[in-house]
This record gives sequence, C-alpha cells and structure tokens, in this order.
Amino acid sequence: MNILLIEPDRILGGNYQKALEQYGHSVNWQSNAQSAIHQADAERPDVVVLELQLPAHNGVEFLYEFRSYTEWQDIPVIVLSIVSEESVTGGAKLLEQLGVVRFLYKPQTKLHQLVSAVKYLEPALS
Amino acid sequence: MTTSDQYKDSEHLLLALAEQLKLPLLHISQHIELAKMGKETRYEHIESVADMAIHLVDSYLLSRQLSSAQSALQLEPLSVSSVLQRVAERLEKIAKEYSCDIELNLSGRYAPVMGHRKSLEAAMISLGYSFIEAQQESGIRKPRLVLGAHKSRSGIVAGTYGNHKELTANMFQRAKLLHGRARQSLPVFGHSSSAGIFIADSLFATMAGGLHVSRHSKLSGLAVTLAPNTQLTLV
Repeated sequence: MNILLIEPDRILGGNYQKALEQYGHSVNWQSNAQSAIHQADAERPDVVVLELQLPAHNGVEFLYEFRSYTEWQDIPVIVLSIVSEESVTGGAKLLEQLGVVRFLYKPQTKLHQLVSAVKYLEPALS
Repeated sequence: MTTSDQYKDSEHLLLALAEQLKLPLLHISQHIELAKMGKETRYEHIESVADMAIHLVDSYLLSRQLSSAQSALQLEPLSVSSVLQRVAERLEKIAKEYSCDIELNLSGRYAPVMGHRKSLEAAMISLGYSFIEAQQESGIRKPRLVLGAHKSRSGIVAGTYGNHKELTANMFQRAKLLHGRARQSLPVFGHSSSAGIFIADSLFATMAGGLHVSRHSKLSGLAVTLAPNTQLTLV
C-alpha cells in the first residue's frame, strides 16, 4: 500500500518508515502538514498515518483541510499520536467524523502494532 | 511563595518532565524493536537519548532539592566560558544525532561570575537539549544551537540561542503562567520539549533572577544574567 506518513520527529519517522517498508509498503514520509498536502496531491495515498502534534498546524486542522478535497474524502486515516485521544478537543466523535479509522497512542504502540493496523485496512482497500 | 504554590510548581514541573521523557523512551523502545526485526541498531542514538533523559531527571531532582533547601545556596566564582565549554561537550552527542550544529559564541573576555557550578551546568544542558529537540520537532532544516555570552549592565548574560525568531519576552512570561495548565504553553517549543526550559528556569531562580528572553548575534534565545564577582574584579 502507498502510505502517507506525517511525523515531525526525525527519529520516529525513520523508524516507522523502516517498519512499514519491511512489510512491503511504500512510505512517503512528510514532517509537516503543508508538505503532506503537496505529497498527497502528487501521489494519492491509500492510507494516511498522522501525528496530531505538528509544527505550525495541528493534526485536526490538517484533517479538516485534507477532507475538504472531495477526492481524498474516502482515504482512511490512522492517527498515531503522542497526545491521547481523550485530550483531543471534540474527542473520538470528532475524529470519527473526520474519517479517522483508528487512534493509536504513540507511547503505547509498538511498531508491529502500527504494521497490523495498516494490514487490517488492506482487505477494505483492495 | 507559599508551600501550596511550591507544591503546584513542583507538580507542573513533574508533568512537563513526564511529557518530555516520553519521547526519548519511545526512541529507545523502537530501536530495540527494530533490532529484533533484524534492522541495524543505532547504539549511539540509544546511548545519547538515554543520557539526556537521565540528565533531565537529575536536573529536576536537583531543582527540587535546591528549592526546598533551608539554607542559602553557596555561590562560588565561576568562569562562564568554561561552563559553556563543558555544556557544549555534554550536548555534542545528542546534537550530532539530530544533525544540529553547536557553536560557542563568547564575545570578549569576562570577569568571573558568582554562581553554583552544578546548577548552572545542569540548567544550561537542559536548556540546550530543549532547543535541540524543539528545532528537530519544528522541522528546521539546518538546526543550530549557539551557546553564547555577552556583557550587559547588570552582569554577564549567558544562554542558549537558536532559530526561534518568534520567541518573545511576552510569550515566555505567558508560557510561565500557563505552564502546567496548557498542553503547549510555549508555542515555539513542542509540548514534549519544554520541560528542560522550565527545569532550567527553576534552577536559575535559586541562584539568579531566572530565565529571560535574550538576543545574541541576531539570534533569539533564553538566558540568565549572572552577577560579576566584584571581589575578584577589584583584585
């Protein structure tokens, strides 16, 4: 699958990319919301993996912008964040409305769990 | 400050520390997991982030010990240049991991200042680490940390400076008020890189006037003003 990974931390971004590529996925890793929009425009992703705590923007703002383009409204988004779901204003309900299919709290998510979450989406996308 | 205020301050500092420690611990955990997956292990990275995490915990404990001490802190004459040199050496490894250039910028010669060496070094290292992490979180392409000192009317200003044009005195004052109440009290720094700043502020407060926003060689940063040692100056 073609994955758009939005992760500001250089070390974590590299680690997620390595883990996902090991399982045959193609990963486009971007460190901020603006470059992620450009990347999605250049190559439509199958899945977006998103950190909510981004420089300059926050991830929820990114989601609003991303979903405003009709061609990207059905792309599943996995949130993988250092902030917990409870601390997001609007909570799980808002994230669901914005097409977030899974919320993974980063400190408690092993790399293989992220790989599994992506794998779980494969049948729906094929 | 009342006991209740002190308790709240300590609790806020601990919360910020817990937030900041998540990231290095996550780095370590992931590197181990990648090694298990047969990927190359970057032991240098594990070592440097672990060292910085330990340093932050130690600095937090030192700040708590000093603020609860009954007696006044024993200040001694110090050379700012030698302190900053040592800080640069301690930050070298972690800076290399994040491709951050460290520069020492000491314009001129300085008379010794009065300070507490252990606290000053601990605070400067915590501050520098926060600047390095914040720059990598902000996606700055050429991160740079300047450890600088210059003279001012009230003493020697020593601090850490980087590419943070938005950092203003008002913003920092507001951040101190919001500290512990807002997730990201200091917008220039991510919520996971601000503990070092507040720990440094707490350490500096025990020996000088606390941290303040400062400019040095066209860069913005956070610094402390240290009083010169008048005895040695007279000699």
